[in-house]
Amino acid sequence: MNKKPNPIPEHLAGKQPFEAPVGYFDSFPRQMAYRIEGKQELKRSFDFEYLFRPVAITTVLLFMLATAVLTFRNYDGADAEAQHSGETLLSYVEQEGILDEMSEDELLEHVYDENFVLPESEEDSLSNAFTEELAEDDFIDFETYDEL
Amino acid sequence: MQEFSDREILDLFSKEDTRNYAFNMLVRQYQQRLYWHIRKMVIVHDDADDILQNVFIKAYKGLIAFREDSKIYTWLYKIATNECITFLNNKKKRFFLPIVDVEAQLSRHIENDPRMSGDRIQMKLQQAILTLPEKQRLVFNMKYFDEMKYEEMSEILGTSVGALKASYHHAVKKIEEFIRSH
Repeated sequence: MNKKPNPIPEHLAGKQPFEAPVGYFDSFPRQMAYRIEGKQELKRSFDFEYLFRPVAITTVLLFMLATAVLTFRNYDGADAEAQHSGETLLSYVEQEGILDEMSEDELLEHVYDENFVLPESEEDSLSNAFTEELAEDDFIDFETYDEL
Repeated sequence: MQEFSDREILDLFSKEDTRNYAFNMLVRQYQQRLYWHIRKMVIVHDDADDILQNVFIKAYKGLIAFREDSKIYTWLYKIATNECITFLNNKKKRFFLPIVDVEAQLSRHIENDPRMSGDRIQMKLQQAILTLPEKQRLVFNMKYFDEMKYEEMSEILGTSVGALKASYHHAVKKIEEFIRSH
């Protein structure tokens, strides 16, 4: 009895049907080494990013919050008043007749108060107002005062 | 090239200062066998290269926890097989192509591949193999080209030896039929 010939060639068994590019297997281990090193680098930066970025953001937010809280805590109405110009103060003093009501000692106490600083120009006008007030009472002889 | 035993590779890999050296040895030792296995499944060299790299990356990540239930080679072969199947499935999904079209595409690639070794018989054989279902392709390639034992194949594919023999038998019949009719 004739046996049918096997169409699957026996001589091809155990042989690879394809070819790889020349030098592929020589360069592949190096290529893999680069990839692994790259992964390690990536892992490091990944850890850094994911560990430190939230910490950095939180720190900045906390700093901003602390600054805001401290700013509001230190706010004092007196600061706002201190920002008024000397001119406004002077007109207020004149309007209310504070100078008239104050005794000399009280006035001096206010004028030389360290916290009560007026710009030079306003200081002069206040000083004039003061001296004129005194002159009305003939308290000072201006000629003698100037010589001094 | 000096062959390292599994134990030697694992010992070297477990120490941080020799880890990369051990991995390099592992790549050199298994790259060719794995490449051919992958290449026969995906046909295109560039795809085979990508998959082979992924296999070794996965091996690098998993080797530290390797339990030695099997040989390293069997384990690598298993990873490679899974990667090939995933790749082919993704390819079918990505291009919304029916399976036949993907196989036809690969068949055309074989015809035009200048790196295809062998003669027209080889080309015809490859085209016949491409008509097989994935599992039968794997079994036929592993038995016919890689000359692997059924026991080893059973471990890699997670299928009984009997089922593998039957699968190979069906594959041979289909290939014979294809070659006779083409």
